[in-house]
Amino acid sequence: MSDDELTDDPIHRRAAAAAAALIDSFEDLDVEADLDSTRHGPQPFVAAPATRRWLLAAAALLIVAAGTVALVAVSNNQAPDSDLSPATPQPTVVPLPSAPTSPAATASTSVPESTTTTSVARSTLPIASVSYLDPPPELTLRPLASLDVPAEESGSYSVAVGDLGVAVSQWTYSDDSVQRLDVVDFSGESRSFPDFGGNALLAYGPGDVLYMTQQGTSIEEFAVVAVALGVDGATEVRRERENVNLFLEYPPMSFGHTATGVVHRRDYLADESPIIDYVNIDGQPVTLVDAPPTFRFETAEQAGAGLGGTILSSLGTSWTVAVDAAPDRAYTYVGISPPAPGTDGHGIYVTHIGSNADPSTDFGAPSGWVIADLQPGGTATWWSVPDGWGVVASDAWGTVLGRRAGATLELAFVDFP
Amino acid sequence: MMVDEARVDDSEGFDVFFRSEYPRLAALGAALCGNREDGRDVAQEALARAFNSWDNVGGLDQPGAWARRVVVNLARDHARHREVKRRRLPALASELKTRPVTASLPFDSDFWAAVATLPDRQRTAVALFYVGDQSIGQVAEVMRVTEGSVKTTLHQARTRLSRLLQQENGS
Repeated sequence: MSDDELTDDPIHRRAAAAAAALIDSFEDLDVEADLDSTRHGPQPFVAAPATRRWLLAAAALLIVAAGTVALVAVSNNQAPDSDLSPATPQPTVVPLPSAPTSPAATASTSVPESTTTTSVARSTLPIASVSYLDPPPELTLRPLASLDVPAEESGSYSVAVGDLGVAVSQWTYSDDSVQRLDVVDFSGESRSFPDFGGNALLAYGPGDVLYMTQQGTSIEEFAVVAVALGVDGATEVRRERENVNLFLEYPPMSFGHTATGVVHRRDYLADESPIIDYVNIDGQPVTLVDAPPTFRFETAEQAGAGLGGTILSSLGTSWTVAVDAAPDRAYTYVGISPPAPGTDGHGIYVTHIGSNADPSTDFGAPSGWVIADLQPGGTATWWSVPDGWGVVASDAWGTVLGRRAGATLELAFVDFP
Repeated sequence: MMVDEARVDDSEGFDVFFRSEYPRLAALGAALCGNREDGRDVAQEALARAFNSWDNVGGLDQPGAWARRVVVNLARDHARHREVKRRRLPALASELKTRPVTASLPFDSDFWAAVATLPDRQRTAVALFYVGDQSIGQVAEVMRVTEGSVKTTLHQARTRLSRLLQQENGS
């Protein structure tokens, strides 16, 4: 519609008039009083102090087009199921702990055993830069577990991290696909659920409930389901039919938590209601308070390129990160993961800066993976991911890296200094 | 003067930004939430977030666009929480049902009542374009969609509003 046609549109004229009247009606605001209140009143929106960890749920999905899918969920010793079982239909509030008790929650304040090089952060406000010419120091990893998974050519896995631990769903590509779920808590203790029906994990928690996709026998049957984990096995407690196209070919960490349910991290701030609302193991609704912030790039172009830009959080913090990548950098088929929450109010942003490690393939093989640790104050620090490892999940309980070697998957947490 | 167009980076910048943006952000919030009180609340919350991060927000090329995005998100959260309450707290459901979302919006309440029934994306586009005084490109930036998508969404919204308002006039 041209401008002239628009001007002649009665609905356009009516909308403009109604909007003008609405704006005029706010001219009576006591701007100076509200400004003073904003400047000197309580400031509830600053990031939580380091000693007050978020007890939040979030998860990560790794769907890689060529068949590399990973999702994990982690658990600690808090929040027994009974705490998530309301006596009435009212939503249950999952409270914040006054002090962290899980290894993951204390990660940033512990002194990790250094197995790789660490050094002083080099990037601060206003722009945190990273360059392939001078890669940042390597991250220190804290091993969590080793699991048997299908070899790369015969199957895949997905990973999500939550308040109770790290979950790994795996399956083979054959028609009689073998599926299994492993859950490892923060102490390294694991539970295994054989014949686990489901595919990629979207999120783990709050509580011992997994959110995952389920293919069904036709596109129409595709759904996101909530599965409660109990001593007798896994039980579906909620199901939402979904459009399969929304769940294809996403990079790791594409899904996470808000106060009421699981959302697309990439899309949440633009347009989303939860994909699926939280439930407890009895299928009753639960709600998170102080849910982890969501993150996004200022523009869609920045988000897709993996070359930095301005990252905005739902708490109002912003970071500007600059990426100087090798001229022959590869491109990933599934794109760059959206920024995701980390522990202690931090966020992370993952990209790659090295040369194409396999120019013979269509998209090549990325190398030189790096992580920006987005700190609550608006500063950021870059770190290199050790060779062979990749970020498979990140949430308020930890950032999880994975390394696949044959039919073994190694998992480790990152401890940002 | 729209603060968007003049990068604010001096120590008094936030005050200038606040005075310039507050009424329009409140109106934008009201259009999205459906009443003046909630509109003012989300505007104040957005500006409080801007104040807390002013070192960064004030350095943006368009801090006003940033604030509009925060208002949109806060209004969406507000609507979601309202829906959660309606669905899960039966005692409140009747109260929420009986409180029209446009109860306190002035002038042409029929129009705002129709806007309140639009899908979230269409309502957001209408609010940003007409109340937020944003260009198509700016709306696209805030909504993280293409300009073409904004034009299509606004066209769909106007078509739907036309139908809704004609139905009201006919009834």
